Amino acid sequence: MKPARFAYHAPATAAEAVALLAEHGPGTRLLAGGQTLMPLLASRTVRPPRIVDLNRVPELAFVTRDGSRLRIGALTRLRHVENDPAVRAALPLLAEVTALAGPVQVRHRATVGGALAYADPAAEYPAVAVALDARIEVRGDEIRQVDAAEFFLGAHRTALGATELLAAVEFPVPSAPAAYAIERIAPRATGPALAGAVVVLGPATGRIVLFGVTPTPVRPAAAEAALARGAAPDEVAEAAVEGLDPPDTPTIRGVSRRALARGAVARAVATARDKVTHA
Amino acid sequence: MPEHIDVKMTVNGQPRSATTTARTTLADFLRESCGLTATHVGCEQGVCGACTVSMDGVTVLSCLLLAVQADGAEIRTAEGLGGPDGALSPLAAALQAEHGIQCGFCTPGFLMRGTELLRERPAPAEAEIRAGLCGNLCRCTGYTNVIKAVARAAEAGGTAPSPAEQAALRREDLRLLAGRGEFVNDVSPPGTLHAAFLRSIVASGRILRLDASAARSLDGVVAVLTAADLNDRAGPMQPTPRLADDDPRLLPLAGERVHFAGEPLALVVARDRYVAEDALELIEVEIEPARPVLEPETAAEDTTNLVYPETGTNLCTEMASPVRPKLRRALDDSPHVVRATCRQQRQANAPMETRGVVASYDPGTGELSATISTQNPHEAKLAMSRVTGLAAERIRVTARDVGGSFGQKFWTGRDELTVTLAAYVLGRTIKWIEDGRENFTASTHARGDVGTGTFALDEDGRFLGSYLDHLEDTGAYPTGVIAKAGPFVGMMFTGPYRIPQHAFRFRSVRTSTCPRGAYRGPWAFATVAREEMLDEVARAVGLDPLELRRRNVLSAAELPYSLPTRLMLDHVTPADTLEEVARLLDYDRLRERQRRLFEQEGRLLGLGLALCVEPSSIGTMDPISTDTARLRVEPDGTVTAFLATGSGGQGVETTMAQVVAGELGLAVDAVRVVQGDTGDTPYGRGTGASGTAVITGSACRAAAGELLTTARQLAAGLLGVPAERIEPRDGALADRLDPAAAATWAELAQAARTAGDTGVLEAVGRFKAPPVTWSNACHGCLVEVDRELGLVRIERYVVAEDCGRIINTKVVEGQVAGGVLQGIGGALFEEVRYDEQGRPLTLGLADYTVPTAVEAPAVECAHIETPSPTPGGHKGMGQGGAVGALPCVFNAVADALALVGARVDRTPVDPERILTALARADAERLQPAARPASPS
Ligand SMILES: Cc1cc2nc3c(=O)[nH]c(=O)nc-3n(C[C@H](O)[C@@H](O)[C@@H](O)COP(=O)(O)OP(=O)(O)OC[C@H]3O[C@@H](n4cnc5c(N)ncnc54)[C@H](O)[C@@H]3O)c2cc1C
Ligand code: FES
Ligand code: FES
Repeated sequence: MKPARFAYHAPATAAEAVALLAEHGPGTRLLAGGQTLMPLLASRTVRPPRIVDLNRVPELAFVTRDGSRLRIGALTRLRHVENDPAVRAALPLLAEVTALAGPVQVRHRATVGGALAYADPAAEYPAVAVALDARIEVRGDEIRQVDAAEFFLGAHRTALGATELLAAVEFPVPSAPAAYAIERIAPRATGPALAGAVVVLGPATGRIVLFGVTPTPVRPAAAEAALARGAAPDEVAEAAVEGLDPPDTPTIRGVSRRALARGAVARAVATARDKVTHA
Repeated sequence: MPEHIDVKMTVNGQPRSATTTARTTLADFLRESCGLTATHVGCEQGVCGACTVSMDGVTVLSCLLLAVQADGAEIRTAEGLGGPDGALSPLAAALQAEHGIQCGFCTPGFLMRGTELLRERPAPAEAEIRAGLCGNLCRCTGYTNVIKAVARAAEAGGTAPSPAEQAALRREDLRLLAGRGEFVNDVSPPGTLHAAFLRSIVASGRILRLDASAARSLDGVVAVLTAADLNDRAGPMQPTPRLADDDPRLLPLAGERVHFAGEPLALVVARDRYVAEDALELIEVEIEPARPVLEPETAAEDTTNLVYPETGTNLCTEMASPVRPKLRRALDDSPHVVRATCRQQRQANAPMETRGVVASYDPGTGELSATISTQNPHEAKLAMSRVTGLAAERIRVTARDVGGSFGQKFWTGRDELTVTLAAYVLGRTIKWIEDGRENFTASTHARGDVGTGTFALDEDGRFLGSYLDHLEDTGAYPTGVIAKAGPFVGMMFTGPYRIPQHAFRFRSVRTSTCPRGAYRGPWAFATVAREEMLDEVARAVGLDPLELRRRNVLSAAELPYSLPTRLMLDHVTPADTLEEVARLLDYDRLRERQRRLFEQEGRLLGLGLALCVEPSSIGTMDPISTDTARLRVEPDGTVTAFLATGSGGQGVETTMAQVVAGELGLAVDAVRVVQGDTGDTPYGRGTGASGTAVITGSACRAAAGELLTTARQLAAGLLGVPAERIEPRDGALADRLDPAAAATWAELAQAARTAGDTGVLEAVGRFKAPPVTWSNACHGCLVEVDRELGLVRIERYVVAEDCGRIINTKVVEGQVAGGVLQGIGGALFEEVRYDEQGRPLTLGLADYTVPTAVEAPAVECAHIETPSPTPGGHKGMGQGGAVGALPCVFNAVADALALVGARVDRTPVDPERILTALARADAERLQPAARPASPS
């Protein structure tokens, strides 16, 4: 299990990276933490002719808090995010979720940009980005902002063009701390979740985002309405999975996955409400 | 961009620079360019953690980094953790004291990560330790002692071993903890070439075309060998026990047809593994697919769709014992007749170190030498002799450290032999290290059994008879003693219970899947099926599973007991271990708690029990029933024991030294064990089938007895007293009647140089095992099943075991804890899967979910020591942990589910199966009419 040959570039700036993408076009792969890409290269599941390594682009690694917005550069390591005081103060949910994205050795390398750009249906990060109304900064010929809700188009498909990179992600910081919870259902401490849910309770409304059950994170409107009404967790959960019909996979049937999603929502709602009461 | 790149980094404080390629991983760079081989490569997928190093102060997985990415970085590896004087780091010392290490393959990764964890959290809570280590997998230890070691190192940098701990320390640990172990991949003689196999992605079909010309002309490729190049030159490839069988002939590479996805089609030999894999992509293959045989239950009857058309059947072995009229009547007319089915999934051994061999043939000298990851170096040598046609005395096989095996590396595999043959044919040195995907698709699989049992009982729940119909999925061809060991399942099915009559049918059937091989307790299904079915019986007759076992378990007074199949059971304590587990669990109180929590809160707690008798050291399975040991006294008075073992984490270098030292009255440190080298050691059985303590240990005792006889004569001569008065005393041989008169072993060795027969003070001892030496154990656990999520949490796990006289308690408990976690993995997590076309879905450790430190329960272990009648009084116990744990945990889950009328009949009981069972039970409650009849 060794990667096939590739041409290797390690640009020093984001502009150079974008220029390399533009010059060599589709097939060129960006390498960030490599915690997902390297296994794919080793098994030759993907064999890009050219790799553009972002790890020598310091301008992409940062966390800044600017009033009501928290900005995180794409190359910021997950381990940094989870320990960063600004993140922990502004968005404790984000810090908590970050600590779930693999073992410590993985989080030392894995990046925020990679976790979003890979758009893994089972991953927590895209769901949290949606739940927290993140905006994703995309850099190509020009810089554009894409709402997280618009960014994820399918399993491993995003709004990124072939000559664009994900440069940063920006989160609105709520004026009053929101209560939140994440439930990740997995039989084992490492490895992808079978299903999961993120719940954020604002002063008036609530957010529910499911992951692991659909190709992209999904916000069940009826369940959010039930949540806002103060419906019981089980009722909210039932509404959240209403109409969901995940496909059968070799390890788990769709109905079972749906049951897990339901359980995840019920628990996340209960936990989040608990936090409101004890806040 | 040029292919070659110069990189510089600081490794363990030393500047290192080398030219490498862009695609070279940091792990390969450290190992190949820096020669630092403590960083192990297990999965190359980021899952096992064996390759963990520290880069610029934080741990990273070196298989997931390119070497160029570390240009300019500070790297630390396990070699760089100890003190400058070679002293062990505090965590390494704690791992040794707590026996948090067995094969040592995973250990460097744990050292790196654990050291960092302790720096970040000087006083970690247990849950923090577990979570912090979840990126490091260990297949041997069950994690219990690893976690203890981290906690111990946290306490003021670790406490020194107590005298008792000091006496039990494993001597293999020092090199492994210092990062100086020598696993097969660490061996790279100059001029080593690297091999890779092209494997079929089709399960069954005819090979229409295979064109290797493009691959052959790739720069860096030395040879591409196909069936046409190798098959005619290959001698028999079957292991010794299968040589006389009329199995379809096993050949190095598939030539006409393929029989499973993963079967080797060609072997590329190249400058390095990267180039070898490039060449694989250039080989053009065309296979006309045929319908694969995938369902063992229908394959047995099928005569049209055959794995090997020339055999006319898919049946590989069939054997039945007669159902006598009395048994027939019992099964027809008893007050209770219960039928139950048990399905055990296909599993994988999943050693952290995959298979591998470095074979070297020198046409000038006509000698072949090989280093191989094996449990059985001498059988590897014989197999290499057969496949190449070279005389055995021209072959030397070495195996220093083996990174786990659990049966997979007992008989030398087809792929290792093909590589050896290639080295012979080409006259070169060839290394082949199996990658993780190959290990899961093309080495050997394990288990994959279906059994239907019928039990007859009287009104009081006492057994009158039983019948087992057992079907074993053998895969494309049986390896080792698989398919021959199968009938043993039926023979020992009744186990430690008073079941007066029993009969069985055994069939093993070929399918178009990876071959089945030995895995920790190849006879495991006897225990798994019986214990799981017993709980089904208990539910059917309305008895508590403990009570059913109490009524039927054999008591001491009934021993020796002849099983209905005439196997003799003796020197075992199943009733005692059952009571001990009931006591440790406080069984009745737990039952009460289970009831209360269910009634009041609807929670599903479950209690599981499993009794196991382990047939160790079987005496009717030569060549592995006999062993030989050679002892030599060195000029300095120390003793070297030359053994044929191939230890893969069992601590043989320690336990056998303890045995020899005990016999000769020496300090353990005065005995050194040499093993894993056919050049130095006498022919013997290797390490496996729970035979080391009894067979190798007894051979050591026999050799020590011989040595004492010779040494006594020499001492008598030196001291001028009759030999009868000489006895071991304080590490010397002394005159029983004169406290001052003694000859040291150094003096005796000196005396032998002139007075002895050979000039050397040495002796050989041999032992042939009696038919069976049984050990026994009872497992008990408490689990809670999450009704909503189908997840299982193990709250308590206890084992009471009797392996006779214990040589080293920590080693025994390590075997138990490691085995138990493998059993838990099988009960809850692990399954090897294929799709409906026979293509493998389980491609590595990312898919084959062995438990991590987070899921591993603490295993509490109690010992009963009933000596066996063999010389040391030991009984083998290396396999029982894995065997007992699977049904124990399954039974606990089934017990919990039974509270709501839900039933499961196969492992693993994962969320899918539990949720499905719960949903079915719900549906049945809503429609009581649709409820199936009770199993009786
Ligand atoms: C053992 C293990 C367990 C894991 N467990 C989890 C888990 O439980 N939950 C979870 O969410 N994740 C998990 N992961 C994945 C891990 O968190 C990261 O690999 C993943 O989030 C990707 O980040 P990365 O920086 O490593 O991306 P890379 O592997 O470098 O890249 C991933 C993909 O994103 C693209 N990409 C990366 N950066 C950019 C960018 N800035 N712009 C555009 N495209 C980009 C790459 O081209 C590639 O296609 C696990 C990984 C491992 C090895
Ligand atoms: S070899 Fe790197 S994690 Fe397994
Ligand atoms: S000691 Fe951990 S894998 Fe063997």
